[in-house]
Amino acid sequence: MSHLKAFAALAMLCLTGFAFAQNLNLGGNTLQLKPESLQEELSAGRVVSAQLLGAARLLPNPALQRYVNLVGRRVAEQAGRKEITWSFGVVDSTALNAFAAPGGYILVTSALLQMLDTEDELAAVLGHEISHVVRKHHYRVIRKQQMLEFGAKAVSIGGDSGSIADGLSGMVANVLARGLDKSSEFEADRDGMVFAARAGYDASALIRVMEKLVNASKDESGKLLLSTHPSANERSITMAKAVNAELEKAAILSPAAPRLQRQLKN
Amino acid sequence: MNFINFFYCIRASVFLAFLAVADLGQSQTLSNTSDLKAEPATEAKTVKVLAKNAPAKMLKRQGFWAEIESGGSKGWVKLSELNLAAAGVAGFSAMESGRTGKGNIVSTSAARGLSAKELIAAKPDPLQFEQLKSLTVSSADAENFAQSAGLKTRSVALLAAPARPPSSAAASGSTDVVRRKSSKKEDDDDDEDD
Repeated sequence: MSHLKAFAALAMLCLTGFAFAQNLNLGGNTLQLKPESLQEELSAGRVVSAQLLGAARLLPNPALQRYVNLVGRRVAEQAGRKEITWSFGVVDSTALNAFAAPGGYILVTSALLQMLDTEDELAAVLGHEISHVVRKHHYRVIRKQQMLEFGAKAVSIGGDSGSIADGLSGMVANVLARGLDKSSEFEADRDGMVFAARAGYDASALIRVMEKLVNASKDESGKLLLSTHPSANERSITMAKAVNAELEKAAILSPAAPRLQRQLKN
Repeated sequence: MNFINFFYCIRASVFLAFLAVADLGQSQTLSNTSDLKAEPATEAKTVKVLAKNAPAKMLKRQGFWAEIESGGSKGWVKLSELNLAAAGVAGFSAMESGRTGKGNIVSTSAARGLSAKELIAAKPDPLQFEQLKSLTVSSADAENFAQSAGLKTRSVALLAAPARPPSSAAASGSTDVVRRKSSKKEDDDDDEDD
């Protein structure tokens, strides 16, 4: 019996190894062994989020965390992908940044939140991050990178045990530090405007955020954001170019705009 | 730090007024040869054609349009025709908003910078992740919260990608997954040591 089991296991290993070898030899587009799945995406999201939260902790302010979740969820509802349970978190950091982890985990720094003036601007920032999730921008980069770095060792992102492999965390951190390509960021900017507008917010609020970020280039706190994104000026111009008549009509400050400041004061 | 906190108290209390004036009166430049329009609309009459890099002073903002004064003429240009100016007005810079705590939202002692280096050096924190998951709210709660402020959903189509990338976009910034950071100081080959 046990011989039979061992043989079966060996046969499985050979098959797996063969499959990997084949995929790797084909190069480029066919590196993926397993199809994308929500389960794997959520595992990747866990690795990414835990890494980020190891660098900056959640702000101990339940009312503010709930507020950001209420705004974020409203925007996310306009973005499709109903299978995702969205979680938003404010992390205590002097850096100006926001992050999207695969599977719907989104973090925004306390410094970025403080820079904003209106709920419309918060909705726009979260809309940009929501787009990264809906479009699987990071998930796909992580999958490719995983195949390149771990090859046959990679069974699935995060494994089945629930433990987070050190090597995987390191890879994910590097993906975050490198950022996405420009076209993904411009895509998330266009989507961010649309999702915010669909939720009832000012379609031009993301450009307002860019106006504030222009100044960030001078300072340490904007360093990672600027090294991983096109310049705020280029993003603003690119967004305004992409706008159509439908979106122009939605460029009105929402009645919810002042809620952010009220929330920050409490 | 206190004077910045003080500044924020003032700022928060009159934020709508600031919204209106924060970037007005700043000197900007035109990003392109642009039509100066009589009204904030593409189909409006062209008052004058302005040269690329011509200086412009922003007078008013309306949606995706800015009313500007340039070379003695007044009119409207789309925001895609304007280079954003770094704030020159003391106290209005984004950085000052970003740096320090206002109210009680930042516990300053624990705040971290989140640089690339710090991200890479960090130890994953699964407990914090569980806490993040617990923050989730239901879509029904979010809907109620939106309605309580009078937010109304709109039907808006997704925007298509532009046919060609913006003029200077091709050269820099594109990050290939495969490529290693060769020009940067930290090397990431040893991340398994941690």
